[in-house]
Amino acid sequence: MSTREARGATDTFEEFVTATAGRLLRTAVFLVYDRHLAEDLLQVAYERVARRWRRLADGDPEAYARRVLVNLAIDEGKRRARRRDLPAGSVADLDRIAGRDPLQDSPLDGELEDALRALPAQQRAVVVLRYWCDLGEREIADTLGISRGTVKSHTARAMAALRAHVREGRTHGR
Amino acid sequence: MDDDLGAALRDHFRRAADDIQPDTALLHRLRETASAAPDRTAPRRSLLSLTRSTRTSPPGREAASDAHGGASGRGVRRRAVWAGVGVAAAVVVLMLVVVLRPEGGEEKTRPADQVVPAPAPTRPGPPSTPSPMPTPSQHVSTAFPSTATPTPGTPSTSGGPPSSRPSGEPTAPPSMSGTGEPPPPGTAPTATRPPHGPTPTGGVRPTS
Repeated sequence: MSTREARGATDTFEEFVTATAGRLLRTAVFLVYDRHLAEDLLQVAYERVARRWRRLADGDPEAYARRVLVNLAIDEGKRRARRRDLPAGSVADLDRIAGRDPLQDSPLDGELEDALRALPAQQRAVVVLRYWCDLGEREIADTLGISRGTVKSHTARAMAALRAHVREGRTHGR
Repeated sequence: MDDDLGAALRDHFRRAADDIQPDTALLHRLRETASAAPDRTAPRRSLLSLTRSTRTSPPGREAASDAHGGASGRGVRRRAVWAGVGVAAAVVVLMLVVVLRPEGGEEKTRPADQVVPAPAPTRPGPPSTPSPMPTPSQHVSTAFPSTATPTPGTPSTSGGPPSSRPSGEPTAPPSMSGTGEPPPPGTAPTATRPPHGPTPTGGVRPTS
């Protein structure tokens, strides 16, 4: 392989980073609700993509990066759950830093965020992939490495938990 | 309700996403990962080419396995090689054990064959005194105190507590254990020993 080809591959990877960093960063933040951790996970995901860039360039490198990201987030969520830890930051923190209160924008936002943060990592990943990334059941199953039936059960449990959390929040809000 | 909740989730994500933008420093850091991370495809291709004809999974499966943190093809091969080495080592050890076992068994039984018959007929002494060679039942009662008592003039080489429990088979008397020779007939401490029963706990005092 010539130097030019190698440089061309690197340039393409840089373009790939420029094009996908925003989307993948938002996905990472929604997966872990911690901006700094999300950036770290995103960097690890891009490192793995860069290592296999020649093989992935012809396919769908963003799907691969998303898959790495989701699995890293799930592993991190399980690790935190074992330590009975909570995410250090949240989307609400970002909103407060930006100078706006998310609760004023929508009465559901604060409840939804709390409910999403309370979900197990894999259920939250299913919700994020379904309602943020707009993936279908089969794509979610491929991304997470689980069966479609498991995707359905995770989705049902997550939605039930979110619904109960929102209903409980409304009851307490009255 | 699920449609409403789904719409609320989409709306929540969309509005929160407006404020999540990668800054310049992060973009620079992410672009630098290409130069920091070496491309592993080039050296791996040469290894994969050896087994490509036998691989049954599609080419994307290996990348998917890596993404899930699972074992890659190279990792599986490496584990297989080490497993083969381990099995070969285990077989060699097993063969050594099987080959060496008969010789070890002979060495183990040979001293017993030599020791057991030796002391009984060669023990001198007056005919009225009981035989110093204890029967198995007597040996049980006399083993503890007498074995720790050294014979005068013939210091025991063991120097410690008795190392063996009665095994039910006759063994050499304690006084013979140090030198391998029987004591002189006149000074044998076993001559004053009662014919039956336990030996006094203080042991046999040496007579000067």
